[in-house]
Formats: sequence, C-alpha cells, structure tokens
Amino acid sequence: MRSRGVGIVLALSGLVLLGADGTKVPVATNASEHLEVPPPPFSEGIFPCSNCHAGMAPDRHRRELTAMHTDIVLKHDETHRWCLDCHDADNRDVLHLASGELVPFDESYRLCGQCHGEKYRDWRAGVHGRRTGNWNGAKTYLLCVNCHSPHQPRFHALAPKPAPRPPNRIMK
Amino acid sequence: MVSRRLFTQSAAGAAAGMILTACGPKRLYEAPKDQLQARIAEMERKYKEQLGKDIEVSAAGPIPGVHFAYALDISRCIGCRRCVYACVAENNQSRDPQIHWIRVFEMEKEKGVDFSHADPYYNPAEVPEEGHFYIPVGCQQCENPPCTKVCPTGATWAERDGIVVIDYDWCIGWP
Repeated sequence: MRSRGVGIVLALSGLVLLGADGTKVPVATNASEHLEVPPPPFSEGIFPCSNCHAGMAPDRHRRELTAMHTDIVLKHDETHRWCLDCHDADNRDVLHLASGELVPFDESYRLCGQCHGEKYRDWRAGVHGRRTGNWNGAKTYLLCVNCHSPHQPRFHALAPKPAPRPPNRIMK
Repeated sequence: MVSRRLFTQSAAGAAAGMILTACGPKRLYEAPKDQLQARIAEMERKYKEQLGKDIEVSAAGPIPGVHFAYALDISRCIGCRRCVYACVAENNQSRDPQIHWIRVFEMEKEKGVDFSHADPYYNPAEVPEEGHFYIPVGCQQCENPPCTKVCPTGATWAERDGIVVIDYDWCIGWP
C-alpha cells in the first residue's frame, strides 16, 4: 500500500539512496568486479569485427574512411582522436585502454572512465545513467553507449512535449 | 457550483468526522500483528478473486537504517517535459481537465533562478533553447513536508524511510 504516490517521485529519475548517516552511497571502484550489463548496441551484423577484418592488414594511418564505416561521423574530441585510440588494431573484437590493456565491448565503461572519471564514479554510484533490478541487490547497469553514441556522445536537441494548458483553458 | 467556504466547512466536517469515528490504527504498520495478518489474508483473498491466481501480499515495512532522499541535477535538465507526461501516465492523472503534477519552468541564464521571469509555457521547435535553463518542479520529497500537515483528510504522509506518499483514495484534490 505504501507505494501509492511514489510513482510521482520515481518518474523524476533522480532518486538517490543515502544511508541513515548520509554517507552510505555504494561506490565501488574495483574495475575487475563483474557488472551485469545489457548487450552492447552494435549495428546489425557488424560484430564480431574479425569477420571482415581477419584477413586485412591493419592500416594505422589516421585518415578519412571511404571504403567502409562511412556512416560513422566522429564528433568526440575528433581533432585528437580516431578509431584506433579505442578500437584495437590487432584484436578487432575488443577495445583497448590507454595502458594497452584489452577490454571487451561489455566493459567499455572502463574505457570511457579513463577520461570521464567523475561521470564514471557517478555511474557506479547510481547518480548517472540507468540501472534495472534492485537498488540493494542484483542489478543491471546500462552501458555508457546504451545512451550515448561513442562516436557522437552529445545528446541531440529534441522537440519538447506539449506545454501545459493555461488555467483559463484547462478544460478543452 | 459549491462555494469555496461551503466546501471548506464540509471538508473540515468530513475530516473531523473521520478522526472522531476512526476506530483502529491509521497505518498498516501501526496495527497489532493479528489484525494485520487478518487484513493481509483478506487482501490476498480479494486479489485472488479479482485476478484468478494466488497473490502474496507483503507487510514488510521500510528497511531499518535506510533513508530515501530526492535529488535533481538541474544542469542536466533540457526541458523536454518527458517527465511531466511520464508522471501523468504512471499515476493515471486526469487528461481532461488536465492535471500535471510536474511543471517545468524555462529560465534565462542571464537572470539566474528568478521565478518572476520563469515561463512554463515555452514551446520552441527544439529544446534546450540557447541562453536558457530549465527547472522541473514537482514533489520535493521534503524531510519535513508541510503538505502532510495541512491535508484535511490525512491522505498524505511521510513514511519512516523518508518517502512522502499520497493515498489516492483519501485525496480530495484540496489545493
């Protein structure tokens, strides 16, 4: 019964959990800990990348792609970054960190977290992004790339839902 | 049309009547164990009748040591009003007459938080608009909520874990 009216609050997406002493926000930073995540949002038929890349010699020169992947427009620090800063040229089916450590696509948050440390911390704490499941039990984290395109992470402007009717026209 | 005064008097009368005639605890968790068990059994029986399958009703209350709080990051709001309509759908609020429990205000960055220049009726092709920011105003889940003190029917209260709730069946829409 006590859930009545709670929906109003949950709809606002900002519910944050605090311990009774106000300090118990569960922040885990151990990168090796396994997190439940949904499948990464690959374009259809694109993964595993080695299906096509297996027989191709990597071309490590920064260039404009013309033969394939022309739909990808990089707007993500594009003056300093390009494909092979995140994608691994030797193992096409994984990503790599700045350290060279290989990470699978379902751990791409570790890659994002290298630059976006504050957002990564907030995401782990449940302040940024979305989780499903139990707040104090098993849960699934949406990956950064489930909401942000890794190639163009900034959200596009969108049309607002209709404005409320002014008081004198509340009735149709 | 009921005059405001008449309505006030009847509402106050109804509230007083409720308090005077109320016999027994107002909240489930205040009820003695045997009473609670009986009410839960009754609910389970009713739901089974309605839905045609076994339903388990839990009387588990707020988790000890847990306090919920509400936070809103204004810097991330783009004024899309998705939350306004999600709230209407989730809580099945009236569409006509229109009831929006969340109202999003558009403000000018130049003026800062200034409700005298806030516009809830903004309607551009796309948001966010250049030079503007947005504040969605809804229930703030106050730690010490004034609305629960003035409610004439006792329809709203704060749970022990901090969540402020409204009982639809008791709420008469008193503004």
